[in-house]
Amino acid sequence: MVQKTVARTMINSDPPVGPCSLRLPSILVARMRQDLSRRHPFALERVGFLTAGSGQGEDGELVIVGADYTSLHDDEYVPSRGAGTRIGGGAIRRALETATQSKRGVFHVHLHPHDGDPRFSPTDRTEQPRFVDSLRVVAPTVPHGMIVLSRTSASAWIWISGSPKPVVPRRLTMVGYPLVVHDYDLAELNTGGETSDFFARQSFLGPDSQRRIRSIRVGIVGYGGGGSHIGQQLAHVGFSHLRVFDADQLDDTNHNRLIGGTFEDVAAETPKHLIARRVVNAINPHADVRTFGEQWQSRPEVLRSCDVILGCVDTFAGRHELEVLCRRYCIPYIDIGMDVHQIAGAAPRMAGQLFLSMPGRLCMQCAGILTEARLAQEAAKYGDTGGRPQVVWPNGILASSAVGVLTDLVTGWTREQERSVYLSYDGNTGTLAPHVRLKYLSSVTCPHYPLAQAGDPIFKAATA
Amino acid sequence: MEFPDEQIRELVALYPEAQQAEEAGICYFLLPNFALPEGRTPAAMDALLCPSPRDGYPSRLYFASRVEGGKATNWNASNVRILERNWFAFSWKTRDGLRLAQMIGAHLDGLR
Repeated sequence: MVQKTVARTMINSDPPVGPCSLRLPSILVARMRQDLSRRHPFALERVGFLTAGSGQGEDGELVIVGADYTSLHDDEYVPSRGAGTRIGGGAIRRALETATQSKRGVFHVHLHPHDGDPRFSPTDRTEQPRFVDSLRVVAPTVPHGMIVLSRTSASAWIWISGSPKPVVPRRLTMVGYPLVVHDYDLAELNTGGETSDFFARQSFLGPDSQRRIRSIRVGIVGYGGGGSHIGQQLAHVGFSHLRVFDADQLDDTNHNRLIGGTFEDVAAETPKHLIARRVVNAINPHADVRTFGEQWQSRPEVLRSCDVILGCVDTFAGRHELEVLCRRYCIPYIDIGMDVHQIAGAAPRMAGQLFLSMPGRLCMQCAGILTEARLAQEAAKYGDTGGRPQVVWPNGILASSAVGVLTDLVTGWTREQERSVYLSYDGNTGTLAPHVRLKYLSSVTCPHYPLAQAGDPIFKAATA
Repeated sequence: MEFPDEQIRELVALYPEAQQAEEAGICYFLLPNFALPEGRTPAAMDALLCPSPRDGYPSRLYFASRVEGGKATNWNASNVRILERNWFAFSWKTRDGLRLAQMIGAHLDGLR
């Protein structure tokens, strides 16, 4: 009965926007499009099933992440008088079993072979909710739904656990380089500055670039020498939804490099996250900037809802934890770091790096940035925090470059597709260049973060 | 990382509720309501075994919170984020080449 009501009321209109977002790794989207584009002996449209993980985001938002895709065999389609073709019972049973056993959501996926935003057809709106209702019966605690892809875009209806009616996600993102973001929550866009000439000089970024920049939610972890440059620059570029974590306060030893920190802040020991808020709001009073004077691990839901995260942390362990979070929730992660190595009898060596970690692609372990040896060496020095050398200008170079990578990721202004970014900084010569390892890594498939592990972790009974 | 079936059987024989999950290429074993040595508080809490080298240790046993009581231990890992939970561990090096169940026993020695 429920399914009929839903189907009838949804024939002509889309559901309301709901408290969820859907992220699809571009690698998975490409796989789905390729599979669904194949000709079938008699079916006009192919169908597949997407499994999806999920996790709780900020303000009660459910973050849903595409994890794996299952294709239907040719013989799993059967002719049907009303709809032309339908999915056979075996395929439906397979989808229901997947939902039950994997403890993940299942989405019905098909393709409309055109460019632009696709819409569900009247038949889709009638038939597919029935299939979703079956999923909701066998696996009621996870979100299920239906997705229609076009050649360039996608639309989705999602049934969140406990709700009998579908919603359209607040945001649907195809996570690749560049990001393809579909915003359905217009409130996100009302964050100021658009009617002025504030951004006239950056119009080369693209006709739609400022809307894209404005709508993206960016997390900054670590508001020190690197993070403070980034926060200030993001505000200037027009990024309006910022989430900043830093548990420290300004003191004598970091006044040499924290942008926006004043002499008075040192005396007052102002928390760095408050300096972040002050700097961003001074540039854009309408910005939605939320700052946290605590470790992000205390509020992971805030970062799960970010579209991109920039890590400016001091430790390899800190980088590792951020990358794990980002891979789990399909979030591009941009990491910067620098160090000065003092060698007896020689000039100090200043070096740094910038790495973009994209879901499904090379990670910092693949790139050799994170190794067990480095993590072990760092752990052995636990408690030995004493004054590692840091100066403002290399932080500025790496931070500016990170803002550049982020802006291209969001706007696609360079028109580069699925770009790998691993830059190496030599502070002694003042050069920033693609890391030498990058050319040897182009064919590597990341074994550390399979897409199938997306979303909250799923534990299974330990069995031999 | 795969572990021999017999080692997993031994682990499950001792901890029937044991569960496993993978993250960043490492397999972890969750031990719900893990009983702690006498004199330690709380008496039981969730623990997580990392049976692979991590942070310079051949294996690590993480706890849902710091364990109180008994002899002093150096809790050098705090709020370590693994499998979407925060964990704590004390500095304790076990021998190389232990079986899964032996690893847990060896880590508990650090609390006795």
